[in-house]
Amino acid sequence: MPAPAQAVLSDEKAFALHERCGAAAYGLDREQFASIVRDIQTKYLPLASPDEAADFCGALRLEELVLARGCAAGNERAWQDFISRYRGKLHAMALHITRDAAHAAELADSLFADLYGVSTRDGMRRSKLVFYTARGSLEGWLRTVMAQEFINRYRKQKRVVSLDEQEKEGAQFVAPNPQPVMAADARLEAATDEALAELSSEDRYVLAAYHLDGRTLAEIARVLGLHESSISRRLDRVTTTLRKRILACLRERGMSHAQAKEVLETDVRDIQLDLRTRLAQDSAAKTFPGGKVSAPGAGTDGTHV
Amino acid sequence: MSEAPKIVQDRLRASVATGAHPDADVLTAFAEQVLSGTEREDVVRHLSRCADCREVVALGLPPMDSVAESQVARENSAAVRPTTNVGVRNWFVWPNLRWAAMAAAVVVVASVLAVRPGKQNKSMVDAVNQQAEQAAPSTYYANTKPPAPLADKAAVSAGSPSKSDTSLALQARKFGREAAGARTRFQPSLVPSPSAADSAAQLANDKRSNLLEKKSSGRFVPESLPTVPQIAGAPASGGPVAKGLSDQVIHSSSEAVEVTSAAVELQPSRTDGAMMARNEAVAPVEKAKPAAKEEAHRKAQVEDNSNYGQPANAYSTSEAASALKKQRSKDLPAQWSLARGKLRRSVDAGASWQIALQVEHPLLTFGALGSDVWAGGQRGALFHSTDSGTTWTIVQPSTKAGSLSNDIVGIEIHSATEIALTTGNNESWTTADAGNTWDKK
Repeated sequence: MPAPAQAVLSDEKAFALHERCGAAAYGLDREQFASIVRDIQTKYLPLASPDEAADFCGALRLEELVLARGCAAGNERAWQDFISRYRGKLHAMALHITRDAAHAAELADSLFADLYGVSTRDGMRRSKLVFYTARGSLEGWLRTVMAQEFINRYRKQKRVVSLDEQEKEGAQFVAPNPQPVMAADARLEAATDEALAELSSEDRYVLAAYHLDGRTLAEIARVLGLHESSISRRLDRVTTTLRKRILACLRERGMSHAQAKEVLETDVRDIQLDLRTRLAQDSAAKTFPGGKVSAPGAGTDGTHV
Repeated sequence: MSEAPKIVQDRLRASVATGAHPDADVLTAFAEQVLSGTEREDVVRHLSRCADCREVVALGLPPMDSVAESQVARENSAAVRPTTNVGVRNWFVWPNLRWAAMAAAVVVVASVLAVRPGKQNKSMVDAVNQQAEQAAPSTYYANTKPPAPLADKAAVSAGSPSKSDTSLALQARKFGREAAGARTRFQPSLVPSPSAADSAAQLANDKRSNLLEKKSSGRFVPESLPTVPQIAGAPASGGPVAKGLSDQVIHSSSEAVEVTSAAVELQPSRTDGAMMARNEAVAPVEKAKPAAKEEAHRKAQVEDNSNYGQPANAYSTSEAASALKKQRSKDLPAQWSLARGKLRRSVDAGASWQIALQVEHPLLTFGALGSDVWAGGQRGALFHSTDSGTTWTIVQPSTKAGSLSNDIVGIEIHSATEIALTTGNNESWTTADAGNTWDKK
């Protein structure tokens, strides 16, 4: 079977876009511009009809694209415009991400250096702006790149901790994890995996963002472009559905309804958590309340598992 | 919120995304709701299993009070209330409008129930007169010290006093000394202001002056005044100057009440002036309707200067209400706001909004002056309406060097014919003939 033909943006349309977005002001001629736009189109829309290719390219943020590519090519006017528009915003973005003025300045300066292109390849300065492909706004792209940089830096800093610091924090003497991970019932895990696999990607994302990442309903709603109340309702619905599905899957694996409910509700981790709470309460309470003394070897009721 | 079982959280955590992470461009486009179809589905699927990318997307979200929102709020305040930009945020959202509508309804109902045509609440009159007496010493030199917090706020929101303020004030002071030695007051409120809210505040000042005039028993000679409006340069359509001068005889001690309640209705956003107005309107709210008639009568007098100083005759409540309604609907300019790239219009002081202009690409800015409205958007999209948004014309600014093709991010309307546009790449386009020819800087 022959592979579908790959259509790229025609010269005529590329030149019209070049005219429209004012690429010449940043030193990009028509051929350079057409090449850039075609590269982006073939990257994201490799198999497209001519009309689809034109629509795709027309929907790109071309003004911001030519600004970014002009900067990457070292155009002076492009840099002037970029600095006037984004220099201040970079610091505000960094502060929003790091919540700390010192780290924000460091992060913003670091990103700015990357955008300018400190590193060289084949004797050429390599600017990070060359990776901007105008699918979203340039400002949004800068935020995302900065967030990625922040996470990478944070990880590096977590990994590289001096022994002195460890000693100072007592990390050397940290006791081994008092709660060894206890294996859940294999059937419960399989049933949960099966129920999770049936969820839609968006439902799964909502669950993960809320329960694992601790994101607020408002944050999740903004990411998905929905209203906060929709996310709240969806979370309730998904949780309820999930519980029912897990119970059903457990029953399919030979459990009775009561057994399945017991396995799901009395997860071993829950038992352990309760035990810890209970032990803490016992130690705080009077040793022998009411003058009663338990029989030797019996222990208190809370310590029996 | 029902809690998910711990096993669910564990299994969610255990599943890891396979394949490459989406690049920063795709994540940005996803967060900006640009992606659709399978592309979006792929990103969501990845995010549901990749904690790192979820964190990147969450960190990459702009703050809640983002630039766009503040820009919309700023444009709202600039277009609708050019001189009242103190503490303006995006108040034109439903939760706020809901309370504003409720407050307006309470004021209207209370006014209707409390009106007693032809009968005045003596205690209230005394209270207002007493208040006026207390304010009288400070209002004698009202041109430099506005008599009340309301006037103070109005003056602050209207910006620094202009030269015309000073000349008017001097004339007013001179006139005050000549007018039979009585305590005659002129106030900065006589200077015209384009804002409806400010007009209301100024009207309140006028009325306060009138109250004081009555109480102080000074003889007022309206015939000596007609030159003053010319000095102030009042608009021919009956601006505040004309209002302030045409009605120098007090008719009802409750006039200020109506004005302040009008200010509340006119401004759903809680600007300082409106807050002050609301505070002042609390006690004597019962006499709102007679004041409505006064206001209508005042407007009528503006058109006929020979009627200076004539008191209002008896009237019915329904007449007053209809007069007020008609007057407001005639006087209130349409309010405009921009939300989600759509231009919205309100003809009822912000109580309800309708989409006036929605085009393929989102609109970014707008400007309004009377019935002239301009809206600009991405890629040089420019629209003009001369009839408050009923019909729109596409305008393509161009010069010999080329046409405008960048995003229009700012519109300034200096007059009906003089417009200035600002584009995303800091170009400035101006026209002096309502958009027929353009200059680019």
